[in-house]
Amino acid sequence: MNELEAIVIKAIAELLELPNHNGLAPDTQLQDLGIDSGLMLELFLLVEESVPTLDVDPAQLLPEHFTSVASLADFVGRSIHAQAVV
Amino acid sequence: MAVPSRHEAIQFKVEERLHAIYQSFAGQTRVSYRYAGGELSYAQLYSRAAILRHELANGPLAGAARPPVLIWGHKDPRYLIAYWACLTGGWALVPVEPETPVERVRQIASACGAGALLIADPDTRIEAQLADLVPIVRIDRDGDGAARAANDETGPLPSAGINPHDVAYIMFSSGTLGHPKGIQVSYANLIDFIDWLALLLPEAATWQSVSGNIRYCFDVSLFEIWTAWLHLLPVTALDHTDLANSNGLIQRLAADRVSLWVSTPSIIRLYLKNPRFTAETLPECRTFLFCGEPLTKILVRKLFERFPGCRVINTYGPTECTVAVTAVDITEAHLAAPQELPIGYARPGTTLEHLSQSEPMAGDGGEPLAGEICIRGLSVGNGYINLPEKQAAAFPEPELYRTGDWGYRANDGLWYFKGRVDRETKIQGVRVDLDDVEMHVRSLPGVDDAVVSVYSLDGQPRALNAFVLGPHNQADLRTLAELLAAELPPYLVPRFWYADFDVKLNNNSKLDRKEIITTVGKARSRYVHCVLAAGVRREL
Repeated sequence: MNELEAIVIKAIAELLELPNHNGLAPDTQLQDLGIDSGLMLELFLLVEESVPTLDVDPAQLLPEHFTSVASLADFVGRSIHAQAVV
Repeated sequence: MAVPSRHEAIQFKVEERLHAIYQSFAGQTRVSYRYAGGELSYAQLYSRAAILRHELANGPLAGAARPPVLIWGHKDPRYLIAYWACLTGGWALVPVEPETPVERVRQIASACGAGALLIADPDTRIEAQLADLVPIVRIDRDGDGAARAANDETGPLPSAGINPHDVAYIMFSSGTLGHPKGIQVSYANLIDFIDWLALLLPEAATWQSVSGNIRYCFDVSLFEIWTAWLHLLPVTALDHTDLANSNGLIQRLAADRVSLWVSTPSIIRLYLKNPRFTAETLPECRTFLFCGEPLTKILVRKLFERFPGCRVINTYGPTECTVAVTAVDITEAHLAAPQELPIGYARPGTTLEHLSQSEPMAGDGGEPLAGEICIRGLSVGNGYINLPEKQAAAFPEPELYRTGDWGYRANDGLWYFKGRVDRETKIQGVRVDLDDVEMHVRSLPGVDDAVVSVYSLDGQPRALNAFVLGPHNQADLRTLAELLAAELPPYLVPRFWYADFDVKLNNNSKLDRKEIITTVGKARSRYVHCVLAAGVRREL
């Protein structure tokens, strides 16, 4: 598990008020957690708290970014990267 | 008019009517009660109740005022002895289950101004815990002899001066914190119920025995004990610590030749899981009566399969209105109809109506207008003890009770239950009626029963949970969610679906909804119905 995945997992646990991180892994499907679009917005807010340099361009968002913890972390990573490049 | 109305007839004769039933027990060697430790005959029930009544009237309850009396016991024969002692003595009886926390018993005793607590249970620890509050009387397990009883069996029973409006029994329900709600039912109400019972179950004259499934703190038990008493039949008592031992009960039901089964749908759901629960094992069990919860089609279909040609009676009613106020025999036509099963026709002396102030709402699927069910007539009890606000709200007129239940009457006079009026919630600002959703989930194929609750995060309602009985695996749940999603707007479709969890029953033998909801993590099947991809781009 990389650092961003750990950040996403921590944010999910906080969002869903889970007692611990058990059961959350990079391949956990967000949909299986009941994270709908409304909750996804809140999840982004929580991730942003941990990654201040995150800057998401809504036009870049695609459904496949939100399938799993890993894909979301990957998207977050690229959003940071994109910003760094700019 | 020379002929008194039904109302007047009941008003004048409550004590005589009770005495007639009670006197029919005297000297009767037939068994009245079969329990784990033995049997009690009708003669014993009669004489021991007479002795106890005498002891109470000359002991702790001496005096003109007739205070209520708590009866502490479960399925012990002494409970029934105490029941008749109180009923004929004119002391309103208050059933208390031994598992009731002591603090709650104190509150109950204080709320009703109890004059005594009768222990009808092997566990007598309550005596030391409550002796400071109320006189305690232990009822001996074996009684002390027929000799003393012989005197009581001769001559007419002395009148206790019972008036029709006097309280016969008090059932306590949850109420607000620290203030249990005491629901009072009068002697006139009770006699009216007994009269209905005789009409409802005419076949009882040919029966051998009836079930004793329901706890006495739950008024559905009156169907069992009063059917028995009207026809001098034995009751086969089910101790609830033995509830899970379905083989044992089925054997006893068979041996006792039980003809009438009374329960909540939840209890029979448990027993139907046992393949021995069939007409082959229980050939005399021909009548099934349900009360206390919505009866589901899947249960009735199973019953019709297991007990071909059996009679299934669905009933409905709040404790405030004396056990039940409607009944109907469920038929194949009811099972085939698109709507849920009916709760029945109003019983004689009682009418159901919608309150004129309430605004009936149009139902879906061409149903008639639904509104709050109000009950008027002889079944309507005296109401609550020392809760004037609740009393005024629920009993706006004498002999009128607002149930808080939502329902409608079809053109043929049959009533249908649609849920509670007060389980509406808001999820993200959208009004959601949990009963409505529950009813929809319950109507899905293969669903036996369902509990729908609110999924909250940070104290805010966010989505719905559905706990379903019937389906077992994730694929089943997925199918249900998709079916429902095809039927309802997304905000009414539960997001979290659970199945294959351990079902517990509460004290009233209904599904323990709170338990189901709080043990969410223990469900073995879970499905999340979550439409994420479609909405995310637009919203972000």
